[in-house]
Formats: sequence, structure tokens, C-alpha cells
Amino acid sequence: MERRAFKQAYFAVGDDHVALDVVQDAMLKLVSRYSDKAAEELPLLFQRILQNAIRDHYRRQKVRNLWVTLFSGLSSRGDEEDDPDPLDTLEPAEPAASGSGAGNPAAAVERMQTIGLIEKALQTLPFRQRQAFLLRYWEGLDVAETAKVMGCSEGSVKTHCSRAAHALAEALKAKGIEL
Amino acid sequence: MNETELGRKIREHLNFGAQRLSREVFTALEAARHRALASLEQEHAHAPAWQWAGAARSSGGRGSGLRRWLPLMMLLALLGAGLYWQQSLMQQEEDVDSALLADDLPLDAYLDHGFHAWLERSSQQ
Repeated sequence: MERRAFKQAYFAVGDDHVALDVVQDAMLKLVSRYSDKAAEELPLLFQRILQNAIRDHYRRQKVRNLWVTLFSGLSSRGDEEDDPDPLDTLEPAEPAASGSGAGNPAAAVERMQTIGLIEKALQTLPFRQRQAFLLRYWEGLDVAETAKVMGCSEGSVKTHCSRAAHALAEALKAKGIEL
Repeated sequence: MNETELGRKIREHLNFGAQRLSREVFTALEAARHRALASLEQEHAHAPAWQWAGAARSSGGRGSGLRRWLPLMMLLALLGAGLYWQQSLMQQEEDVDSALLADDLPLDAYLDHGFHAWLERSSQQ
């Protein structure tokens, strides 16, 4: 669970260390505030805390980026709408354990490249779209739970998910990736 | 491909990627989890004291009763003090009035400049 949490934080903040801090804060908050809650409530509570922490970092980062852009005098590249492009590197990490593609190194490399492109496409999504999509399809929350975590209506969740899926499909198609 | 199907396929890829986090990140996450669990254990170790304090607060015990009644008691004490002060002031005025009427004013009163001023003022009226 914490691996997915780390990845979610990373997609939003674009930095390993900040993402780790966000996840650690979320864990500590969960323990300090909700240790008396029933075990089945904890995953949803953790998601809520995590998403709030990510959102706070994301907003701060956006404001910081805005000021840096204003004062640096450098023109932005403008290839994405308003989201910062955190990384240009594609390789996620060196393999630490054997996976499903371990038998065939070429296939494993290809798969890691695909994952890199998917992750990059996710990073370019607007914050709310990415949040809704990941909560629904990666964390496996239903629409009502996602709405609760995001603090919005179920209709908004559906809209965000639909737009995210459409944007992801387009981005992957443009890269020639067939899932 | 519909949204659900795309979500399912992306989920598979993301899970695969999450299993291959760098060793540094993996270790840091593990340490974070241990820290959180350690703080939970620490919290449980302090729990009896907290529970006792909580019980005293919630069970309407002696401390709780005192805390609830203290503001009211303070208000009553203030009101009492105010009434006493007003009463003593009136008593003083009455004493002066009766002493004046009985021409039984002590000598000190005539040495008081304030008393002279008041006497002149009241005689003009």
C-alpha cells in the first residue's frame, strides 16, 4: 500500500524525497489521529490524509513555480497546459526484485519503458483528473468512496475519470503504445 | 477500449512498476512504516494515563464538577463583592449625612479639603 502511496505522491510532486516525506507524514497522522478506528476504515482514512497532503504540497509547489517563472525571466516551454513537468527521464528505477518479465530481459525492458511512458502521461494530467483516476482504478475505490476522499460529488469523480482516461488514451496512442 | 478496461490495464502496469521501486525508496518507506508503528506503540504505552484523565473528565468526577461550577462561583463571588462595596459606600454616605444633621461631625472632617469643597458646593445648590 505504501508503495502505491509513494507513487501517487511522486506523480504529483515529482520528487522522491518530497514524496517520501508526504507518505511518512500521512502514516504518522493516521496513527496519531485514527489508531482507535476499526481496521477496515483505515485504508480510506489513509487515502484521505494522503490526498490532502499531496494536494497541499502540489498547491505550494504550483505557487512556488509561478513565482520562480515570474522572476527568472525565462519563458516557459508551454507544451503542457499549466502543470509542471517534473522529470524528463523515463527509467523509473533499477530492478530490485524479479517481476513477471524477469524471464525475458527484452520484454522486461520494454515493459518498464511502457510503464515510464504511462507514468509520464499520468504526471501531465491535471491534478484532480489524476487523483480521481488513480483512486478509482489503482486503489480500487468505488465512485462514492473516491468522492469522499476527494471531497467532491460523485458526478465530478465520473467526469474527472472520463477525461483522464481519454487524455491517457490519447497520450499513449501518440507514443504508439498499445496496452 | 473503454474506461474500465483502460483503467485495469494501466493498473497492471502501475503495480508492476511499484514492485520495482529503487532499493533506497523501498528502505525509506519501510523505515517510515516502522516509525509510524513505533509512535503507535508509544501512544499505547501512554494510554492508561490518558484513559484515566479521560475517564475523570467524562465521568463527571470531582475534577469535572469543579471545572463546571468554577465560572459560576467566580461570577457569584464578583457579584457579592460588588454588592458589599456598594453597600459600604452607601453606609459611609449615610453616616456622614447623619453626623452632619446631628452636628456630630468629627474634627477630621473639617480638616479635609474635599469635605469643604463638597460643603460649599452643596450649600450653593
